[in-house]
Amino acid sequence: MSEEQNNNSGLGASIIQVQFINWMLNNNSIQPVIDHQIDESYFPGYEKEFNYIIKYWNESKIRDGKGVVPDKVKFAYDFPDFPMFETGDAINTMFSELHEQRCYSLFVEHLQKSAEKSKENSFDAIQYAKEQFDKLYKFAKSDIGNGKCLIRGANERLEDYLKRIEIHGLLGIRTGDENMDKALHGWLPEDFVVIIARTNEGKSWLLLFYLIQACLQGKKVGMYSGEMSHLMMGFRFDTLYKHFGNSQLVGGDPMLGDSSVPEVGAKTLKEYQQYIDALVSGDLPEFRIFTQKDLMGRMSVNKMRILQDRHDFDIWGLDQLSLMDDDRKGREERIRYGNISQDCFTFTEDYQRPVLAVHQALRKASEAKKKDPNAAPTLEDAFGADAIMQNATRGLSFTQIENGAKCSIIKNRYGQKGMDFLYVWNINYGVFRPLQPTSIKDNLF
Amino acid sequence: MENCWAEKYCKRYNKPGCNQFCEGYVVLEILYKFSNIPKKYQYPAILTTTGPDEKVYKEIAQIISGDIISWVNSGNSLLLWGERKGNGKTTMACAIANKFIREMASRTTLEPVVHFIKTAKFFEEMRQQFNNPTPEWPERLKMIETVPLLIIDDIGAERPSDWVRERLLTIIDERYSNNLSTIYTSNCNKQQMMENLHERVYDRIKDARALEFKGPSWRGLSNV
Repeated sequence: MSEEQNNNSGLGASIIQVQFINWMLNNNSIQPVIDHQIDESYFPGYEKEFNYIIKYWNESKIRDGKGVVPDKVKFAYDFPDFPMFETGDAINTMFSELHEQRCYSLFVEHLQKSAEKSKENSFDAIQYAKEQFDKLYKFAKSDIGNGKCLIRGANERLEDYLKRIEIHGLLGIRTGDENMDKALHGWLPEDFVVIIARTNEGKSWLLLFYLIQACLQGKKVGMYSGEMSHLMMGFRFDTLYKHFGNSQLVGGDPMLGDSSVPEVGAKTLKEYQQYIDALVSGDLPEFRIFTQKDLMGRMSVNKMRILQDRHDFDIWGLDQLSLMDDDRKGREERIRYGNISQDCFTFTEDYQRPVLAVHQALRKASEAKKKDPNAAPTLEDAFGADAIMQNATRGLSFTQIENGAKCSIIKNRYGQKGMDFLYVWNINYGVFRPLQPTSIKDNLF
Repeated sequence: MENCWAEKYCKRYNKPGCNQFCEGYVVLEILYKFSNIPKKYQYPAILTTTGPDEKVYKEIAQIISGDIISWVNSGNSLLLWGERKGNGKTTMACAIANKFIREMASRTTLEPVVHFIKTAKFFEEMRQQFNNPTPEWPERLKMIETVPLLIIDDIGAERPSDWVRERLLTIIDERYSNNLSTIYTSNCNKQQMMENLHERVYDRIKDARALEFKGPSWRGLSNV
């Protein structure tokens, strides 16, 4: 590492530069460089590598009409000491950090020059500092994007619409309920979904159900479990995935099923062993649970970013918002919820990965259900609801009634709201399937 | 699994799929929980009789065998009364409710479709609310005011306080004004009801179609 790479801006600065260059190589793109007018001054110590990529891109564009970045093998050959690794998708965050580091370097440089000048004449030094810092202030704010022109950029819409036709509107990860998919178009890359329910309604189960559906579609899942251990979450996984009786698993009962219910069946210890063997050797992607023990405390969005960069999950589940830390250390609970939910939303924007979070309705709302079991939680029932729901792209309320359940869309940034989805719902055997009114009609009449 | 409410008519009864996760069973379980109908009235009843109440039974049986959803949605109301006790007023009111629940099962949004209140118990609950109001009570009242079919059982037997009567009037008037179906059962005649509930309440009840039960009590008989 050169001396310049160990300059005042520290090791963190060189890491972000290396990350950024790796991102360009991994994604075969210099679009952020163009968008933000980034030049070599952002890469002290890595100017050669940066300029090499840009030169290569420019030359290929002139030659072939389309710019490409150099092949990673070629790049590694030409820069054998350059650390190469996989990067996440959070290019906006990377640029913000890079820009901040560049501002920091300029800030220190101006301070040093001002200090030098003040040794000769402090008035000149002040004049110099004012001019430089005025310029620097404008530069620091220059990372604000330019927006998009709806008229000149109309082709983008057409392309997107054609893509939607092709996939019948289902743009995201399927929820496990066709009707809900029609309303929500699946969990979208920029979705921050908040599921609110009262205590003991099974909201953590619902979250786990959605995440298992994602896993079954080959999506890598990351989940924060603020209360439950890996083991308990694992048993719940088995229950929801293959209907092994949860109370029996937890209670050590060798009979894990119910022979009177075909979709559950009479499950035995042997079947559980076979299931576990198949699960371990099968081809389902990772489904990783993080507890407070793993994280040396509560989850925060900054920790999610570290884990996302490390594991590249396709979807996140957070159980639950009230058991998360606010990286910005808001003083009041309401402000903390606002900060956490805003950071979650920014996370989805940066990484283009949906985040599903559960949140508990107010205790008052739980009391209300004792007298009126049908009363579904409303937006107002969520503590800090205004702050949380402002940042959520979708809001779902969940109510369990006997062996049934109702999920209602209470906020939907991208479509209809106020729709109800009904389910047959049994936690112990992980039965969760949409209620089909036509089936009821066929049987009862 | 409890006895299924649909065991007399469900095509899947005792066949594969007949278990606690049957969609019909799940929905009926929920709708009956909301309904507050006493357990003994939740299952199909015998709807024929001979003797003085034969005509009344036939009229109710016609309601039940007809388009019950239209009947309820049209805001039809009944006053099933008779000074003798135990001759089937509550049973018949609940038989209408049971048929309505059955029909609504395939149209459900898991909202209450029927609610049953026993007047004396309800008055007692209201009195408790006067002394110790709870935040959930308004939600319950709202549900009683808006549920498609409400059964008010044994109305008129008790003389409520002015406060309770005003609350009752609010409920009945709200339903009356919104053309919502209500079935009242009572052992009181018109005069007694006027005395106990006062004219303002009775005035709205009397608009319901009155069917008088004159027969003897069934209670204690093993077969009817």
